[in-house]
Amino acid sequence: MNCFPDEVMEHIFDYVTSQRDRNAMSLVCKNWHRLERCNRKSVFIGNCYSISPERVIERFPELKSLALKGKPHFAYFNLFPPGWGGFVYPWIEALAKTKVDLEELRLKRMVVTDECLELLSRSFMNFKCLVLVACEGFTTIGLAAIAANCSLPYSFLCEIFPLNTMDLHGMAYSRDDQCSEIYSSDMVCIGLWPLLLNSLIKCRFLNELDLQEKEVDGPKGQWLSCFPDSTSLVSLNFACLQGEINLGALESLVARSPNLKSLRLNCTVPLSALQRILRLAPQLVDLGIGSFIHDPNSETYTKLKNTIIKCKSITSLSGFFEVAPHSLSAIYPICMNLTALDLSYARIQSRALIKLLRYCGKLQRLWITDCIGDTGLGVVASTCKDLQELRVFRSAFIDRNDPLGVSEKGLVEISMGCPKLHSLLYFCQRMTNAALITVAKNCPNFIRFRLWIFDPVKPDPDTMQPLDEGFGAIVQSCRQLRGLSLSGRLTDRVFLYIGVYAEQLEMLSIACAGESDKAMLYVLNGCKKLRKLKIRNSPFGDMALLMDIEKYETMRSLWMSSCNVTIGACKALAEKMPRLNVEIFNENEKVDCSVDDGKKVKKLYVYRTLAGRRKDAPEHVWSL
Amino acid sequence: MVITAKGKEILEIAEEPEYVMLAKVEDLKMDMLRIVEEEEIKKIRLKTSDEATFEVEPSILKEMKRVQSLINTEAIDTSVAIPLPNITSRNLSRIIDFCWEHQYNTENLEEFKGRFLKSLNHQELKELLLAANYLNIKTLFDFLCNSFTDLIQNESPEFIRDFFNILNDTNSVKSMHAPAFQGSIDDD
Repeated sequence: MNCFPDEVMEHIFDYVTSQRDRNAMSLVCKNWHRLERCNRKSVFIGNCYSISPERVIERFPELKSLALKGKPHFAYFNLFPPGWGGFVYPWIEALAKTKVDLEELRLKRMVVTDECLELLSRSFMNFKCLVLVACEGFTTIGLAAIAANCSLPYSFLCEIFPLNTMDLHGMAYSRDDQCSEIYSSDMVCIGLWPLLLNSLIKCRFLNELDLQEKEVDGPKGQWLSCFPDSTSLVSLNFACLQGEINLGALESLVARSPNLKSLRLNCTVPLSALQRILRLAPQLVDLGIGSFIHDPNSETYTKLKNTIIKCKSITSLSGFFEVAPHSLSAIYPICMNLTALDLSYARIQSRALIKLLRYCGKLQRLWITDCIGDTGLGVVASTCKDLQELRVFRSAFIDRNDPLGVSEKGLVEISMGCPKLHSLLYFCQRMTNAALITVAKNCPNFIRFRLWIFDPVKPDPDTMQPLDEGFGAIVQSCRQLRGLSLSGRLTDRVFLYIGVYAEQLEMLSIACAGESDKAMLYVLNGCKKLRKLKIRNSPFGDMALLMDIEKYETMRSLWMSSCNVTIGACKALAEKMPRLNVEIFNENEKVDCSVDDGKKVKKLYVYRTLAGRRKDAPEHVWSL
Repeated sequence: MVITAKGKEILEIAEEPEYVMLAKVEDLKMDMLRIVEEEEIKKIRLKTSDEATFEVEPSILKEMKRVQSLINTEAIDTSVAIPLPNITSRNLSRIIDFCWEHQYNTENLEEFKGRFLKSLNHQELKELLLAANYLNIKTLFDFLCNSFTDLIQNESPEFIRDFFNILNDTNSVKSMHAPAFQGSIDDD
């Protein structure tokens, strides 16, 4: 039997929400390509320079929701020059011009100017959802323009930006530049939106309001009281907002938000307010606790204890910015319901933390700092049998009684106790081959494996051997591995293993590893699905770069910084591969054509594009 | 002729009181006949491609929009079985099962759906989807479409081509576009 009739296929496409599956289906045959193209409403573009907006609009005439990324992930860590690019304006302009009925726009690491927001506000009748993650360039003036140009009544203005869809994350920052790369975007966000929303709601009425005087970095406004009398608020997150907030307004808002499911408080919200909030909103599913300081013998504490028992629906807990010793027992009764626990910002002593974790038998996701120690990880291993994702960050606050970080012992325990583990981020003091081999055997389901040793070139401390065999075991037994970050002393051998075994690998991050060009070639030749390759401080040169240049057309991007690549080789790459954009940044040096071809390149960024060379690069970005 | 319970009831009421006039009884008898006939009309027989005849309950029939429209718009003679040349007896019996459970099994529906899906191989699944499309049964069609997306989740174009038995007529130029759309905003 052959394929289904078109109307059946179209219906099947309606059910395919994953972009990945849609992409695969569109490559099956010409007819499916056509059907899928005319059916896709939600489009994701991993690099805003990889394709022109016009081409995207032409291919997907039914486009309603667009997600765009500008700078790559590692741009968080000052690797990119200021003003590099990633402007969303040309996209909004093209969408407006072709009268796309845009409803959703999600942007990550892009430059969003006030002019963009102004155009956005005027161009799309049915616009519903704006998400800006780690974007820069806009002020409340732009948001005021949205409000001013909006012909819809006030009540609807709030509907346009219900908080479950408006999520303005401000400028990115990382807690620790030193071990920067390991932090995912999830860790790197500051919520500035409440303040912006405040301006936005207000300026419907206050035309005289001078927004230029309003800073977007302070929460001083009474924004919590600006919400309408009854709200459809689903999620309210101001965990990262600095400064005090109006507690009366917060409680009143919670009281009139019957749909509130997720609430994350900042460190200024005291335990007494938490108690009142929980009494008003026992339906919460996700709770971020602010301050948890109180006398365990006080009346307030007893009240909290009695209130929290009734919060049976809480399955996700985070926060705990300040915690008094011996005060956590109030939380124990809800711990058995928790599936997600994020204590990566929590200031809890190791001993109290371990005690808490003993009650969390159903955890699937756990984010903690290394103050938990190997002993603590042992407790996690014996308690959390369903654990799927574990992140152990480097602790920012070290208590003198806490253990000094985690090692291979903790990881081995976890691998023995938590067979469902598939995603790991692990900052550790030391790692051995034997441990990695055991982990690989115990947990063959890893999709993401990111290991970070404080000394990035540290060998196996037991044998003084490089960690090649350990990582080799990981790629050999985890056949579904899609993301890998390497750490520790590594020779070319580990790259041979990666090339041979890591068939599903999409992202590889390398720092201070390998011995020769061969290492990079093993990866390029072997990993057929590789999309993103990031290399820092590794001895790979022109030969490695130029050996398999067609490979880069199948990838999204290649990053090489402080390697042995020369300007001449980059020029050759650009010349031979017109579908690649080759950009070089040498600190703040301007473009200089007379420079010696033999000169080493400090930073090289290569990405595939169908849009040709970009014209908006600043002068210190050499676009070859 | 089958006399339904409802029909009997009317008859008894009609005959019980002595003072009921003949005309009235006649009216009631007509009513009864009409009800019986309506039941007959509603209970339709369907003939599958392998010549099996199914007598289908009205409540199940309601789900089959195509049969409904055949009866309503094309004034088909319902005294003979409606032929469904695209559907095998095996598939029709599965369809009836599904529609029945969907209507009456409110408690363990998900469990039933799981079992239902497990009992089908890929070829049968495809046939059933086409049958559901032909009969225009929304619940079953939606369910099966969704099941297909699960089966090809995270698979390569090659796998999907094999799965659906589709000839590759794409050229390399087109696949140049594809990588631009890969990934997700939630990745790094």
